Amino acid sequence: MTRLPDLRHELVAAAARLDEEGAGLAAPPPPSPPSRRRGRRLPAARVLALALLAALALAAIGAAATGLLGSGSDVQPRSGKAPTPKTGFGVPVGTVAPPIVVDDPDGGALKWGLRTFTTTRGYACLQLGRVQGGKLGLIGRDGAFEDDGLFHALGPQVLDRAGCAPLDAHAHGFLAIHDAEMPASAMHDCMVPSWVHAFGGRVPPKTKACPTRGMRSVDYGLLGPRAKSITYTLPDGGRRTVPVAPGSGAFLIVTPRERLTLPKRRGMIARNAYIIGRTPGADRIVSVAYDDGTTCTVRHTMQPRGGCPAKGYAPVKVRVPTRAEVRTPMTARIERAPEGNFVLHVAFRARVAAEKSRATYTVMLRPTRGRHCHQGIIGHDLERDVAAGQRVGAAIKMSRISCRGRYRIDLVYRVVEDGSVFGTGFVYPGTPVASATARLVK
Amino acid sequence: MPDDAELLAGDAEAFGVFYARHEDAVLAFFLRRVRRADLAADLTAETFAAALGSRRAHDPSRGEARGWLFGIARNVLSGSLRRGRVEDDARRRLGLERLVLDDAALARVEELAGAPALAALEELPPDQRAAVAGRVVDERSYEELAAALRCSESVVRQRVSRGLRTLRSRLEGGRA
Repeated sequence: MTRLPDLRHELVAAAARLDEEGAGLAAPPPPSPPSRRRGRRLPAARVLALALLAALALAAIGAAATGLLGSGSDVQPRSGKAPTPKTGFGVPVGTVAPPIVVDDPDGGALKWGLRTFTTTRGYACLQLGRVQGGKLGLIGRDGAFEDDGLFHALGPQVLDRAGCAPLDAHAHGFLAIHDAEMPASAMHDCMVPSWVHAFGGRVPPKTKACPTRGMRSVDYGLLGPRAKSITYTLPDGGRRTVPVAPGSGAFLIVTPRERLTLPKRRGMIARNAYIIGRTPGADRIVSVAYDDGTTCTVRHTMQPRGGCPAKGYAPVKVRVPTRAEVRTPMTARIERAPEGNFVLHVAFRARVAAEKSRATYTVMLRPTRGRHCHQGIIGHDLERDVAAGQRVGAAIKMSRISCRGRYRIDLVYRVVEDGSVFGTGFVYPGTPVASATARLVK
Repeated sequence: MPDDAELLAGDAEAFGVFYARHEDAVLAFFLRRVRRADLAADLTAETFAAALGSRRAHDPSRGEARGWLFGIARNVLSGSLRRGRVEDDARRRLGLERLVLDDAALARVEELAGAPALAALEELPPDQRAAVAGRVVDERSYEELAAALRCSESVVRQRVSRGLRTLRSRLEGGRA
C-alpha cells in the first residue's frame, strides 16, 4: 500500500497506455516530403486494389442498410488459447443473458450491444459489439478483419476481447468505460484521431489511422446493484435519463462522436478520449441515481475510483500469506522454441492456494548482470487456479527476451488490490516464494 | 530484488513498483521544503509523471536511477517556485489530471513530516546514499549490494556505517 494509491494507479495506467499505444511516440517515423507525396503516382495494381476496396465498402453499406451483413468467421481469442474454467479470466458462469441493445446514433442498421457476465474465476466482464440476428459481433471495417465488410460473431468465451474487473466480496462488478472514439466496427484495430494528433499527425509503421467519419462515443459498464438510472448529456446539450439493468447496474450509451478538445502540444492526449474507472468519470455522464433516492453528480476524473462513490461495493479482503507460508523450491530452465522465441519452464509445488481473481503466482524474469543489457523485468501471472499442495508446471513463451546469459527467475505470490479496475489488479511486488537462475544461450 | 534501472526498463507494473519504492522519499523531500502535504503530493505526482514520460531515456551507465529521479524532483521544485505554482506539464502530456487528496491521504503524507531521515538521506554523498538506501530502505544483502555497486562487501559496510553516522549527526543537530 502506498501513501497515494490513486497516484500509483494513474501512473501504472498511463505507463500501460504508453506501452501499448504510444510505442512509436518517442521516435516517430519521419514524414515523407510533401512535394514527393504530391507528385507520386499510384501503381496500377494499387489503383485496382483501391477500386475493389471501394466496391467492397459500397457492398457493405448496402448490406448494412438491409441489416444483413454477410457472416465472416467467428472472432477468435487474440491469444489463440481456448479458455477453461480455471485459467485466464475463466468462462462465463451459467447461461449468458442476451446483450443490452441500443440504436446506432448514425442510423446504422446494426444496433449496438453490451453483454455482461461473471466468470468462473471471479471476474465481471463486459463485451461491446454490434448486433445482428440477436448475436453480438464485430464488423470488418475500419481496419478490422482486413475490411472484409462481414459480420463476425463474438462469443462470450472470447474473454480477451472483453473488459474484465475482479468481482467484489458479494460477487458484483463495478466498472465504467468511456470511449469517445469507437470505430463503427466496434473494435480498435486502427489508430484513433486523438492518438494520431498526439503523434503529431503521423501514424507509426504497420498501423492504420481510423477514418474520422463514422466513429461513435460509447459509455458502458456496471454500476452495481444499488444503481437505478443514469443521466447523460446529448450532443445538442439536452439530457437523457435511462434505467440501468436491475441487479448489475449494466448500462450502454452510444452517441455520435464526441467533439474532443485536442491539446495544442504534441504528445498529449485529449482529456476525454478514454476513461476507465470503478464508477463513471467522463463529464458526458451527468449523474447516477440509486435505489435509496440519492443521486451522485459525476465529476470528471481519470482516477480509477471514478467520479462517484461505488455504492453497494463490498470491499475485498484477502490475507497476504507470510514468506514462511509460501516458501517452496522451484526449478527453472530456458529453452529455445521452434519459432525462434524462448520458453521459460518453471515447476514448483504450491503450499498456498491461489484461486480466482483473489490471488496469483507470478513469475518474474530478469538478467542477473550486465549493465549493457537493457532488458527489463518480464512479469508473467500464471493466470490459473492453483490448489494448496498442487504440483505446478508452466511453459511461458518469452517473446521480449533479448540478452543472452544468466537470468534470475523469481516466483512471487500476489493478492488482488481492493477496488482494482485494471485487469487482474494484483499488488506488486508480492510475497517471495522461490528463486532460481537459468542460462539463455542464443 | 530488481534494481531501479530494471524497473524503469520494465512494464507498467514495474513502474508501479518503482513508484512505491521511492514514493516516501520523494514526498519527504518535498514536504521538507514546502511544509505542506497537499503541495508535496502535487509536486510528487508531477515528478513521477515526468519520470514516467522519460523513463526510456534513463541510461543506467550515467548514474543510479534514484539520483536521476531526484534530479527531476529538483527541477520540478525549482520550476514550480519560479512560476509560483506547481508545474503540471508532465501530467497533462500523459493525460493525467491534478491529484485530488482526501483527509486520509493528507494524513498519510503528513506522517512523513516525522520521518526527516528519508529526506536527509538525499543529502548524503551518492556512494553513501546508495549504500544506506540499498541496505536500510531496500533491505538488500551486503553481498548483493557489493555486486550492484561494484565494490567489495567491506567497502559497502563502510559506506553504510559512514552514511548512518552522518545522518545521525545531521538529525541530532536539527539540520534535517
